Amino acid sequence: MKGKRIVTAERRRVLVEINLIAGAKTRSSWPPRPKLSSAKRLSVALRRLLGLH
Amino acid sequence: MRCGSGGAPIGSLVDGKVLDATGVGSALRQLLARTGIEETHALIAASDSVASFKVLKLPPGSADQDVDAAVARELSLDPERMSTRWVDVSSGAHQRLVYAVAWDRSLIKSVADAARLAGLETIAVDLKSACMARAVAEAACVVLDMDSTPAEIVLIDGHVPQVWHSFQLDVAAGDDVGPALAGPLRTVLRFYERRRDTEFDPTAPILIAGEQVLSARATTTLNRELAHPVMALPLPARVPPEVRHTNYLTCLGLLMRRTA
Repeated sequence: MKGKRIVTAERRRVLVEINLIAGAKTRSSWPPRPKLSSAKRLSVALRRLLGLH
Repeated sequence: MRCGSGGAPIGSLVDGKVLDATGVGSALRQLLARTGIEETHALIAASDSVASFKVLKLPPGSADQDVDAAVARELSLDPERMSTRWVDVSSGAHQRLVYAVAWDRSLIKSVADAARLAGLETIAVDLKSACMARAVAEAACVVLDMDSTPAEIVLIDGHVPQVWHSFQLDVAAGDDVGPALAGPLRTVLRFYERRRDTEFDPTAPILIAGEQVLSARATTTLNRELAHPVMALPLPARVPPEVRHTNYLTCLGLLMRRTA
């Protein structure tokens, strides 16, 4: 329960981080945005919309 | 966890810039040996003097190309010498908030070279201001580091660094340091508060870090003149006595990174 509270607090807190090393990948944001647009979820949403579920 | 702190040879690290990678690398190698640290991967916090950062507010739904264009416009620097990168801070119904950094590639290369000469592989280089913003508890505050050369001020709002400013702090030993801090702090506060769509919480504290303790009189004067509570930067837990608080806080911020 305590661990869950900490995770929730951290997710609410915006933390920017960037890497100035050439070629490094920098994650676009933290906390990550919900993946509502991912193919899998979109597919599920479409299926629901079409009454396939 | 092992921890240590040490200086670099005179002239090798000036105003946050590595001018002599061999000298800095040698000092770093000695520090690692002295502290018995055998780790070979390095996370590095670079001085904000090697970069410029800006938090941009864009219309909601702005495309990445719009962000690229805004970053290029706001951080219009020589592309031959400078690199830019941006990350989303938040994206909601009212705006898309972006944190963008432009940095001098040669200066960052010198930092990584110094680490390499000390036998370290650089995993990430982050800005000191961003590291402090992650580690400091307050969502909105101003951190003033009197021990760095030059002295540095970082204004943090919404847990994100918004303004960085440096200044030479020339105060004779025994003199009241308060008046010398009022001007630079006021400059930073005014600069931020003049921005469009910005409201800096008047209860946001000004946290002062330094070996020299601020006198009660200086604290009162700064409180009154700046209209913000002024206090010492809270001491991080278990900070070794020989390590400066802001350096320790910066290292904590580096450890809080989620990505390489």
